[in-house]
Amino acid sequence: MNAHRRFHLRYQTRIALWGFVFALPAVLYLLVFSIFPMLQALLLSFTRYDLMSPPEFVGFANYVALLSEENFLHSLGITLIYVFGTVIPVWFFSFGVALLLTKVRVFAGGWRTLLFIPTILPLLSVTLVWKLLFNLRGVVNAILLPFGVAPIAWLTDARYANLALIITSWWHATSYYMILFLAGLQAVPIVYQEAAALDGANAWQRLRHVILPLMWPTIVLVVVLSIINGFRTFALQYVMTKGGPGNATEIVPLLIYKTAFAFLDMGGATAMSVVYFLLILAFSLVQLRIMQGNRND
Amino acid sequence: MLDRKRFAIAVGILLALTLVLSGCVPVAQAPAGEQQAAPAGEKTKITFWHHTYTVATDWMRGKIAEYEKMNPNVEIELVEYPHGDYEVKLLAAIAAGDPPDIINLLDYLFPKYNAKGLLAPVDPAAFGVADQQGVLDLFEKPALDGMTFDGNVYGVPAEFNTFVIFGNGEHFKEIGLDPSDPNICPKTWTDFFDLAKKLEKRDASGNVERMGFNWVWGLDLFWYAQEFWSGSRQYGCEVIGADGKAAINSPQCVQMFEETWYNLIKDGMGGPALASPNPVYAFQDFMDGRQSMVIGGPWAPAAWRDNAPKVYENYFVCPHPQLDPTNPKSFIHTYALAVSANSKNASEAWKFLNYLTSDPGDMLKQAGYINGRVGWMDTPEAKATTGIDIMQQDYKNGAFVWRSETFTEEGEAIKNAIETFAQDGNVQAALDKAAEEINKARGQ
Amino acid sequence: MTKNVLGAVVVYGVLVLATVLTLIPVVWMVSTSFKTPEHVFTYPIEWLPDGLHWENYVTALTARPFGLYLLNSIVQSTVSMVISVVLCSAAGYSFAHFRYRGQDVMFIIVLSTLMIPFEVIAVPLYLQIHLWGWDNTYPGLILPTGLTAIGIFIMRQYLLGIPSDFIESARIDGGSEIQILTRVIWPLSTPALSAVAIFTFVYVWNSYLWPLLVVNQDSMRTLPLGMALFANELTVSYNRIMAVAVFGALPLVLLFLALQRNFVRGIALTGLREG
Repeated sequence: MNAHRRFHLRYQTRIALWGFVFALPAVLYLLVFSIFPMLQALLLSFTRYDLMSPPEFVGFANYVALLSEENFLHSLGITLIYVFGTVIPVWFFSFGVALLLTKVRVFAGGWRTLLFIPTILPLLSVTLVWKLLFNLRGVVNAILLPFGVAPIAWLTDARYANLALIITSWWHATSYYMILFLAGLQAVPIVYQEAAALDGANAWQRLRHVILPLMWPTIVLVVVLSIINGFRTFALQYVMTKGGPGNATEIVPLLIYKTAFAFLDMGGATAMSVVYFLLILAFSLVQLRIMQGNRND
Repeated sequence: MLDRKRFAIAVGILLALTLVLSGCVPVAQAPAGEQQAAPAGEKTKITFWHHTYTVATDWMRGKIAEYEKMNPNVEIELVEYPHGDYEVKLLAAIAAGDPPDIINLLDYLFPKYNAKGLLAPVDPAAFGVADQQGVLDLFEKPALDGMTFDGNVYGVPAEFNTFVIFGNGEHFKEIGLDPSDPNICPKTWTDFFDLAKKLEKRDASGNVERMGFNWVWGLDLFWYAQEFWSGSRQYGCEVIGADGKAAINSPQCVQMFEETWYNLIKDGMGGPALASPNPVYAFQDFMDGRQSMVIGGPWAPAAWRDNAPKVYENYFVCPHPQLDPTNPKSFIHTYALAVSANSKNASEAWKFLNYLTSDPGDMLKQAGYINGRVGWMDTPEAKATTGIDIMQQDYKNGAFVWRSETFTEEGEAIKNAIETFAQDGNVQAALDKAAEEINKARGQ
Repeated sequence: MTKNVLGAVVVYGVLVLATVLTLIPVVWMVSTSFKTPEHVFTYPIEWLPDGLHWENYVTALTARPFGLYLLNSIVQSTVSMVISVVLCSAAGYSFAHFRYRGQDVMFIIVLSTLMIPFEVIAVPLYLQIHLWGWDNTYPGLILPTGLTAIGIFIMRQYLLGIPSDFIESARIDGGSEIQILTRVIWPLSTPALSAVAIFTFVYVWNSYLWPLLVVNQDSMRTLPLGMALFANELTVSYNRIMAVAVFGALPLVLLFLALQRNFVRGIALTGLREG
């Protein structure tokens, strides 16, 4: 009996060890190339460092300064608007399109490729094109004109610049998350849906009771990832508005970049990113907890 | 897996294509000096980082080849970076303790870099003179002013620019003005904006089809500074007052911005909304014939040569508008070349820079750069440049933008102010906020 | 599933709308790459070029060694893709189907690497790479950005959807852990593996800040660096910039075409209903 239990335990331990080994290369890789520099950035947040002379220790001065830094709070607000204005519609757009893609037979590969193009175009070119589309006499205004909307100077008008960026983001992100939903939809075997249909469930009920539950891990992925990616946005704003007009579209990563490389305040920039990081971390942990219940699905 | 194979084939074809392409293409770095039989011993290696501008860097590579032939133990490596990324790259190199020997800095950065001890003073011997004053005498005043600290010179101009009005000759002819007649040039700001209104074209519904004039919007902080500096000087607007505190919200500054910037928007003549969104070329609208006048530097026409030949053939130059034509004030700036303080080959680098700037006529003709070396105005190439006499006047009346170690923060605050009052017209409030931010940056 | 005509009309109708909206900027981009400069910024927008000016491509692509840049980008992205697919699938599998101490902490650490803007760790990372003498080298270019936690997250979530019995039965059948990974998990997760491959490839392909910091020589530049150099010339016109952009998108399109069938290859899970 004892020997049997011991064998069982040793077996479990062996399995667990393998699990650890499988995760190890990736984790080590991230430790070296991501975590270690992150820790260095944390250290820098306690210094004054302008890249030109060695860092000097200033304790919590950068963090104290942040409390009264209205630019940072302003940027946080802009970022939140951008993130949620983007991701919430995108969840529905990308899921809807992915679902539709599973239902087409004609030219299936073609639709998929065409709809994925926004993700595979170089971001620089994409943003340059959209800048033109949002011009006073560009396509977006042309489309809105028949609806009685007077031409808007999207990117140079503080009231609309963020919306323009969000719209561009919809275009780009829908294609990205569509792929993830497509991949996830593969985990829902056709037989389950057919069985449900045979049992008399209509399309809506099939969606709610078969597809969505089986796709739950993918939904968690898209929700959490889209929000994290949203908070990391940089290139879009950098090329389209550089945070302008004024600082109307200055999201936190842009502010951090400016503080580090234009104002040469690495201490301030790293302090901002530490606070930002903690916010996103807390947010994601709460999300994961809510969406996944306990750790196992 | 079948798809891996398809992928591999696709990649294979692409790789083959790229190898063919890369063979057909001239590799940018042709180190001419390397093939020389170098004498036994160390070669002096100099790294030179410049911003992207092929016309100029191609010419510089030619000069490098010549210099290396004359000095076979010297090897110079020129690498270009886009203007916007240059500082990031440079800062990373400085942080790593390994900056290039020769750097390309706009003059407004000199106070900060000098204060941090990053720049090496000019080596007079490299320029064949006895002392710093000798170096100062090699260049037209005030080309070296922005780069001189405590009597020591820390850089030489690759470009020495002023801002003038460029006009589209054909548009002027349309309204009955003869571009070859110097009297048609507007003297005051009022003249200037009246002229812009005349040149303007609107369509049936009142939308502006062709602008008379528009400032350049949406570029970086130094672009805005270049544009408003002449006006600032004329109106008596100071960014920093004598007490070291911000003075950008003074009545003079408010007046200047209202009369020369906001008026464009108020009258619907220009403004950020009407400008084309090209983020890399400032004068897209002028080049495309959608704008009749721009204010820019001598480097501007080079772009029109290849892309808009009609504009290139028909442009003409007028002096910068003045508040008081009897007391003209304008703006100058340099994109300069400096040597890193910890460069091991500083003297050799300065020797090369001397060589590079020694033939201003050639530099102007090939690279399109005016370098301000004494006698440049008398070279045949200078005389052949359209509007050169006008530019020479503005050089004499010009001054550099304000000097400050926190220029970036201050310029950024003003940029934000401009973009803000462009929205709501409240110039005073916008400038007040800028003053606040400037004081904060200066620790006031 | 019953397919009625109305349903089909809705499905295809929405898809057509989505595709048109998606392609509007792309059409403009490709069209502009064939135009002459005067036709680029016209109002109203010209959708079709005034003729196929292939010389834009020739002039643009020979202005700088784009072939070389392309090669560097392909090497950088391909190696990153392989590293990511292998390491992320192993790690995702580990987080999804194994239990060991410290696992949750490890996963949070992995995820947390996504929460700091790269711009901030770029400089410390560069100083490190510089210390190792990796400037201007392929390792320096590729390794620091070669793996992103996104891949691990994608794999984990996808693999959570695979029942453990499947793996258990493979173990009972005598497969070693590595064999299970390569012969069971990988084939079952081709949609997710393809997603990781594409996303990593595209992300690395588009990366700008890191190559900017690491590369000091033209011969090591990647395509985005080359494009930015090209686009920042005062004398370059938009049509040629777009030509380079189209050129830069081709390998990505090719890669996606090669992989896209994997996104709909269903898993044959029907046999798993026992247990």
